Amino acid sequence: MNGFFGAHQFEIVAFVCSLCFMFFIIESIRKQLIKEAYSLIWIFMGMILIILSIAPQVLKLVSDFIGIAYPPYTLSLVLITAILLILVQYSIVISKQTERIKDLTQELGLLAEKLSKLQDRIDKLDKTEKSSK
Amino acid sequence: MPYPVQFGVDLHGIRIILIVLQFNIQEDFDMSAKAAVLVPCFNEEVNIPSVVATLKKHVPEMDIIIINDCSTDHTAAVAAAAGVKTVLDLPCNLGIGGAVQTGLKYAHRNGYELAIKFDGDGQHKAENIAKLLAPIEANEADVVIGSRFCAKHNGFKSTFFRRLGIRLFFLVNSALIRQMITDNTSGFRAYNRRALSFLAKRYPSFDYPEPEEVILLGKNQFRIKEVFTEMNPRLGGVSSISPIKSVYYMIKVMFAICMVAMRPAVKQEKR
Repeated sequence: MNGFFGAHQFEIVAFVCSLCFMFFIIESIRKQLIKEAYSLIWIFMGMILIILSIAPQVLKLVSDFIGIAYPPYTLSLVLITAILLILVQYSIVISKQTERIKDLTQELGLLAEKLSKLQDRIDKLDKTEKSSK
Repeated sequence: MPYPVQFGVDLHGIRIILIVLQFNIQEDFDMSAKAAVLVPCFNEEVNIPSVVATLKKHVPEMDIIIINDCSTDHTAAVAAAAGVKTVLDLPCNLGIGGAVQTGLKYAHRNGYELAIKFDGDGQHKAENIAKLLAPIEANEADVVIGSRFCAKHNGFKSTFFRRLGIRLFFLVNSALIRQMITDNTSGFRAYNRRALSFLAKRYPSFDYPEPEEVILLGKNQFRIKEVFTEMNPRLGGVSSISPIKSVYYMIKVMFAICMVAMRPAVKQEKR
C-alpha cells in the first residue's frame, strides 16, 4: 500500500499541508490581515501540526498517556478542543466589540443631536446679523 | 486670649450661614427639578403624534426626548413635526435597551434630576406620570415602576403565556431581591438623579431589559417602589414580542437575571 512517496506517504502529505497552513498564517499576518494579538494562537496551532507530522511518535506517546488506543483520534480530540477554545475566545471578542459599537452608536446619536441644536442656533444668529445689517 | 475665641465664633458664624445656604439650595432643587420624558421609538410614526400630544397636555413642563432607534419609517420627522425639540437619532438599531440607555445618557449629561421612561406605542398614560413621581419627590424611592398588577382591580387582559411569564418574573425577581415586584415587564418607570446616573452607565443592553433592570437596581441597593397605573391597549403598530418568540425570550431573560443576581454589587460612590 505504498504510495508515490513510499512508506512515509501520509507523514509527508501531512507535513506539506502543515507547512502550507503555517505559510498561509504568516502571510496573513505579514499583510496585516490578522492582528498580531489574534495570530499567536494560530501560529501555535501550526507549530503543533508540524511537530505531529514530522514525529508521529509524539502522537502515540500522548495517546498512551491519555489512554487512547487509536492515535489519530487523539489528534482530532486535540484539534476540536483547540478550535472550541478559539471559538469561545471569539465570542468574547465579539461581545466586547458589540459593546463598543453600542457605545459609539449612542455617542454618535447624542453628538448629532447636539450638532443640530448648535446649527439651529448659528442659523438664527446669522439671520439676526443679516437683518440688523 | 480673646483673639482665638473670636475666631472660633467667626467660624461658627460661617458654619451657620453655610447650613442655611444648603437648605436654600435643597428648596431650589425641588422647585426647578429638571425632568426628562424618555420615549424610545422604533417605527412608531403612527403613534408618536398622539403620544407627544398627551405628554404635552399632562406634563407640559417636562422635556420630551425621543430616541429614534434607527426606524425605517418617518418616526423622527413626525416627532419633530409634533413639536419635539430633542430627537436622538441612532445610526444603527440598538434594540430597546440601547435606545433607553442613550436617553439616560442624555439626561445624565444634561443635568436632569428626574427621568421618566415612557413607551412610544401609547400604552402608558401621561396622566399617571405625576403619580409615578410622587414617591421620588417624597424621597421614598429611587425608582418607581408603573405596575398593572399591584392593585386589586385592573382591566389588564393578556394571553395565557404572557400572564404565565409575568407570574414567573414576579416570583423569581421578588425572591432574588426580597421585595414584591408585581410587574417586572412594565416599561413605565421613573428614576431620580442617582438611579439615572447609575443606569446611564450600565443599563442592560438587551432586547428586553426591564426584568433585568429590576434585579440590577435591587442588587445595588436602590429603593424600588411600585405604583398602580392603568395602561392602554396598543394604539397601532405591532408589539415587539410575538407569541412564538416569547418562550425563547423567557429563557433568555431568566438566564440574564440569574447572571445579574450572581454578580457582586457594583461599587458606587456614597450617597
